[in-house]
Amino acid sequence: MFEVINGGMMTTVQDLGRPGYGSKGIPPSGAFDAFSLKVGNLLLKNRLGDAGLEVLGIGFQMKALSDMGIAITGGDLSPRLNGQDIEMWKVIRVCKGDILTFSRVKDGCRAYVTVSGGIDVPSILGSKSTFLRGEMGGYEGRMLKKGDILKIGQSGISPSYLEGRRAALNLVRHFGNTFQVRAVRGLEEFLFTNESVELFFSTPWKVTPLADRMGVRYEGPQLSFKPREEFMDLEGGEDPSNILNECIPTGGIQVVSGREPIVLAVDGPPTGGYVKIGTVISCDLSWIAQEKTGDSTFFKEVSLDEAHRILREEDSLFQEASVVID
Amino acid sequence: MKTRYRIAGDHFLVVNYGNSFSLRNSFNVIVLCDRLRKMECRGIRGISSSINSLMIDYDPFEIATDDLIQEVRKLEDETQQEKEVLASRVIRMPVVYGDQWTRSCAQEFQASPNLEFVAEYNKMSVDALIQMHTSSSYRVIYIGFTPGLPSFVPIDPSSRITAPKYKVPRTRTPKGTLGIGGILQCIYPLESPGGYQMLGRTPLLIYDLKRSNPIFKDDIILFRPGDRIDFFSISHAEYQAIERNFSSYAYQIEDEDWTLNSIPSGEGSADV
Repeated sequence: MFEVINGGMMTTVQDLGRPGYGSKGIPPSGAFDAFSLKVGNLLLKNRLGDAGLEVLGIGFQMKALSDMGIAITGGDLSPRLNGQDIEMWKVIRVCKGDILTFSRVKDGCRAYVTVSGGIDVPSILGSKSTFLRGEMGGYEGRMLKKGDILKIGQSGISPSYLEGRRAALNLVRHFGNTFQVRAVRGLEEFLFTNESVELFFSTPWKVTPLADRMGVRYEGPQLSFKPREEFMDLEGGEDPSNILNECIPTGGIQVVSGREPIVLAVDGPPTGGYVKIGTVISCDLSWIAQEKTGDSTFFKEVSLDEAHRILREEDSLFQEASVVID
Repeated sequence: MKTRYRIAGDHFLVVNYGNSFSLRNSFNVIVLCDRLRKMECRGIRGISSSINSLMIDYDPFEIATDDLIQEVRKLEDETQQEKEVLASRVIRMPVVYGDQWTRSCAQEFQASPNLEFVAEYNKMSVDALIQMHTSSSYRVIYIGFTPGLPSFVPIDPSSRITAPKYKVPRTRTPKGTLGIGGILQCIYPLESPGGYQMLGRTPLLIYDLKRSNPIFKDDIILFRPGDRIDFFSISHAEYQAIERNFSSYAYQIEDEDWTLNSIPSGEGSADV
């Protein structure tokens, strides 16, 4: 068990989400940077989909109420144990009474705290993930705050046995301020002019402050639309970016009024009435999760086959061979 | 009817039946969703739907995208829409039209009273609008935006009032608000942002994680695509009485089949 001393900016319990409930208006949720959560679980010999904490920005503090093995992955928010810097992407042994803090954003913006045995909260629709807008899942459907006490699942592996396990270099990520994110075309790229589609996939886009688990909004050049039939204005709306409501894939890139593309993320709405120029491939949402205001992003177009090849490759990383034992 | 298959990222496939609204399209979308769920096709992780389309979340390593498209095509060929019968329900919902809560919410966002605005926009009196709203039946097209939020339209095209959405969406809409934007209407399941004009408010929950009424025993969400809704007008006092005794309130729900030939003919984009 551990106790929350300070909830920080926004700390939530997340696993790999509850896909498949879009028909009820429920987004998948889950760790925004699923890659980092999985690395943490791999290090701890948990199931890859066990629940951990997603820590956004600084301020989060927790106190261990028992001995446990933990791993911190994802963005570097200067994790410290009892005031001493600790290494990320590595199993750390924590003793009863130890205090873990995050005090400064160094790289990326979301850190993941995984614990041996996983975080034990009730499962809602097959997942422990928090969906804040739906007041669903996680710890009482909300972000963590001072005084919360969280339970940990049974692991059966002692912290001393796990100590010294760290991620091989191909599983360790650094983020910096320039991102390259891969995307496939569609659903409605044909409503844009060809020049605008080309421009979208070649120009840098700047992250605006409007970024959260629902979506991340970017600034850049104006994109334009082809002329279209009148009925689309009547039914969808006057603006050429309005369409009749459609399903939105996770990672869909909406371009409202041809300005400020928004990548819809893990808590994004399942339906919406704006054109989408592309869809970020599923494994690259993890990079977007680490973008901060002012960072720049290039969207690189890939074919569906390439996307599947990339997914397969990334999936193959999550195995014992990617763990180094000191 | 021309079906379009569209790729949406590495594990979503969209099946689209057209760009314009018609209840026939929506019926066909709901039928196909139903068929796909019953087929239990390998690799399908979830199916969601909107007005004219449905989206399949699939595992590309269990079923190749092209094979999935073939499976859906086959199913479509087998389905004879004219003969399909959807098991649906009629749900009666109480509403306080022009209630105090949505009125003060509109004021908070510097909007004139929404019910009066929508009546004027459709060139009718408030009383006539309420009369028309309670004497029409509505069909739920899809669930989305927030958990359990139903989007519905009047079944009879002649009852289709419209309303412009807020230019700047509200950051807050009371839970249970009945809203209208364009031809679509909705009920807000939770307090949430929103851009639809607010016509009134229902005391009944339509999304209840706490399952505080037995209706939520099997599902935390009340509405399903294809349901019919009938509204009836209640007073503020009745609203509060229902709210006080909510855990024992008996929802008025009856089973009713929905078939394609029940959709008024001539219904289509020209009527919108």
